Amino acid sequence: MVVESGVRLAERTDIERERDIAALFDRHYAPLCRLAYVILGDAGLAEEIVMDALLKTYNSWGRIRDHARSDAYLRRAVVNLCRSKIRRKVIERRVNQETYKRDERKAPAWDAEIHETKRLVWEAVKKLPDRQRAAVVLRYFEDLPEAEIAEILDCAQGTVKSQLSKARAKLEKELMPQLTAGRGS
Amino acid sequence: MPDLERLLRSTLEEVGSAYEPADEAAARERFLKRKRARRFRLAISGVAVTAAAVAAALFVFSVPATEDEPLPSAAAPQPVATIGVGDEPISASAGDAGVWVAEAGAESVRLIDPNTNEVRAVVPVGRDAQGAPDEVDAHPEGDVWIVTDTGWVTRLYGDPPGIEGTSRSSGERLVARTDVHLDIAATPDGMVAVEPAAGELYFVSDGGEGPPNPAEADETSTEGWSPTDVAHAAGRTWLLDGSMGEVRALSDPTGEPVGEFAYRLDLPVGNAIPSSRAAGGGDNADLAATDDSLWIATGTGGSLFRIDLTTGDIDVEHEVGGRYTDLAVEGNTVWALTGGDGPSMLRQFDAASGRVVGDPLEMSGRPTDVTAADGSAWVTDGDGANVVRVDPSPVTDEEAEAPEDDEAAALIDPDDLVFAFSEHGDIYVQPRSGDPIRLTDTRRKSEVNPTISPEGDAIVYEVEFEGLVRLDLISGESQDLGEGSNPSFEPEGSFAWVVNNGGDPEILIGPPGGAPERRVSVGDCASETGDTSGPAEMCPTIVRNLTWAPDGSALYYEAGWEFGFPLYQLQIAEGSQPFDLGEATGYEIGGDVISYSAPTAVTEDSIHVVRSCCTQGADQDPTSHEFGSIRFTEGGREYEELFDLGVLDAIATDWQAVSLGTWTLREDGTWEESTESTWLISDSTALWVVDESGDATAVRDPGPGPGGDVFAFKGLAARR
Repeated sequence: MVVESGVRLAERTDIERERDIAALFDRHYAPLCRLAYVILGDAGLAEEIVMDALLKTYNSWGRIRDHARSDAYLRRAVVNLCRSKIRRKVIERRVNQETYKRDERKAPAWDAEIHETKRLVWEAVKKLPDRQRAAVVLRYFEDLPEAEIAEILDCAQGTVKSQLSKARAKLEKELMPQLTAGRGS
Repeated sequence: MPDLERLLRSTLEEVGSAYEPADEAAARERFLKRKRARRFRLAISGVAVTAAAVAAALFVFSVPATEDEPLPSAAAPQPVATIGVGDEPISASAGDAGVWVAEAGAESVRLIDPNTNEVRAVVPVGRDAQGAPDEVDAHPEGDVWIVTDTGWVTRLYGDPPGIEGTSRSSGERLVARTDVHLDIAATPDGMVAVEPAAGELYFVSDGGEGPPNPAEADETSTEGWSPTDVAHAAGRTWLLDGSMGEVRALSDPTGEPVGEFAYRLDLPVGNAIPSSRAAGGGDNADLAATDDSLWIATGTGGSLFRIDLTTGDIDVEHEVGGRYTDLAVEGNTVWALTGGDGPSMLRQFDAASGRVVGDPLEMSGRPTDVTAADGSAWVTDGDGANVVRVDPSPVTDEEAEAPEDDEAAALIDPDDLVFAFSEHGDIYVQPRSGDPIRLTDTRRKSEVNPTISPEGDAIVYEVEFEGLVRLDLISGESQDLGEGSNPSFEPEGSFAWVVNNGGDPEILIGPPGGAPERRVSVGDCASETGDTSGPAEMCPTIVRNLTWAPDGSALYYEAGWEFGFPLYQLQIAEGSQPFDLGEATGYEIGGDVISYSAPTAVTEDSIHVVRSCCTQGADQDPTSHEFGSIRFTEGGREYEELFDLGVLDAIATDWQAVSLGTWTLREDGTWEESTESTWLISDSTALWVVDESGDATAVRDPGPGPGGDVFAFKGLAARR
């Protein structure tokens, strides 16, 4: 009897996990893809990363204590994978410019009508170092408070504050001449 | 400057809303499939590792000559006939009735009878707006298909096809654009075509007695995947994605649109295979299959792979050179025609062993394609307007046998061994003099993290995602040790390794290949620090860089998840739990993150580490690295900086280090023992020897790997 109930329990756990993971996918896939896309600017890569994050979550399901917070876990996985990808891309480009080719065919083209200013802003955001870029996206796209960003980026709240501050300074420095020139003309 | 924060919000919102993930339903299905596959793989990993690891080792040591050494042969391939055909023959294919040749200049296809070496029929194909014939493909049980360089398709049918004049159909455009190249494969019931430039895939059924109807050219979704070459063999349709170096097979060869791919294999991206073009110029690649092997020739770079279809592994690779390669298969013979750089060469391979047979035959003129029929290779000469028939070199049964085991010699004298390392997924050992000796050579697998036995007569390494292998350096024999990663020999011969345990890793301690005598869970946060307040997702899922104290009293390792790999110390005394060495004075100093990596135990109470410091500045990579020593005292620990490593193009967490004892690299390139301590450090892209004064000398710069991988080193080990 003991063995039987153990089996039933395991089966039930498996079924619950399958159901929860499927629900997690349905609820979060598109928003997470969007988050990854805004950080990376590469649709194909964004979808690949979200898929990896979901699989990681699936593998770690048994170790996540609070399943109600699995969305935070997922978001953290996506951001970390994005940062990892950015760093790796930077190094790969640096060392191996000849052979590294990333397929960006899925990246949607900017609509010609989108204001030039926004195009410049996004280009500037994409040039930020990975942690600053992630912090900016989490703050201004996901609208998360600094404490939550700190948890996702695994750093102190003060670090988030300084990262955002430096990012803004950098963006202003980068954008000021272009925007001013644009107005002048 | 407008309000930056407002601008950021509106811009990012617009970027996010402009993007929609492609086909979420397909992604969901893919996710569920991969999830199931992962579970299945976990379940069978204990079995899979055995065959796979042993197969890898067998390849390396029992078939050492696959690269270049030819099978002995009584004769080289010999031209036996030259058959005149129409102008500019560009493609050839063997069908049931003979050898079909497509002629771009003559705008026709021609049938050669192998019994007489004479032309049996000429069929006009592709005139005026239909363009010139570009490729012909015939199936022994099906029809003959021809596509032109503007995408028009012609089918010859009947018995024999196309001969009676009424059995020809033509004039249907397969793709609605001009200047396209299609790669086609005839199947028993139709034809499959890929359009490399667009990554499209078409299935065309035979159309009965009429011409192929465009409505029957069903375009099939490739889910963003871009097939560039197609071949039909062994009852399957094989597709190659040249840009990503991936192969898939369709589960149904009947010509019906099939979305289910039954087989997929990732090739190193560095060997990306360019789109197939009709032979004779430009970058070219090809795909061919026998019943139990798949052959893939890359274009630029000139590599030829054989994939064993029973294991899914790339088990043979040849460098054939040239800028394009065409393949043809018949029975146990594979032909490869290369050209583009220097003279064109025709090579013969034994399909079963994967070895080259005899010497290559230099082809004159401008060879454009090869096909195999009636025991011969048939090579079209685009300049000479002829087809050259070449008979193969005979291979006797005795010659095809594998080399004798008793030829095995010691791979390296243990007294000569200085250190071992993994570079681009292969294991090397460094002798006292000369270049490192490569011990494994498997492109598909990644062998990493070698550790040297205390006697120096064996190494154990990890085959990533599979398990551990012990390699005897004297006999060359290898032994599968089962599941595990990150092996580490204890100085007295005991052994530690890591098992994933379903994402909840454990360190096992015991004899190599034997039952573990102790299991230490490192995935349970509570057992490490006693602190259960932290989020569970911070529990380590990866354990690496195991290093033993010289007296075997403690084991040190890194454990973490994606980012941040704190160091842990495990006292071997019964019952002790891992202790987090990184918890003490905080990983944050004034907002900067300090991390330790690459532990090397040097005494019973001290380790050397690389200490890296992140910056809040522009670059997110660590901007300072130093090599230091941590000594554990009763009151805590003491850190001593040994020397500043400066700033290197590296990711700190990918560093590895080992103490080399007193081995020193002399100016003449030999290694000798001195009185000074040295260390070997890899920073992912280079291997350095560092002496007591902190001077670092690069001893190995491997450059980008076969997959463009810059993370060259994964594992260092030194004799202790």
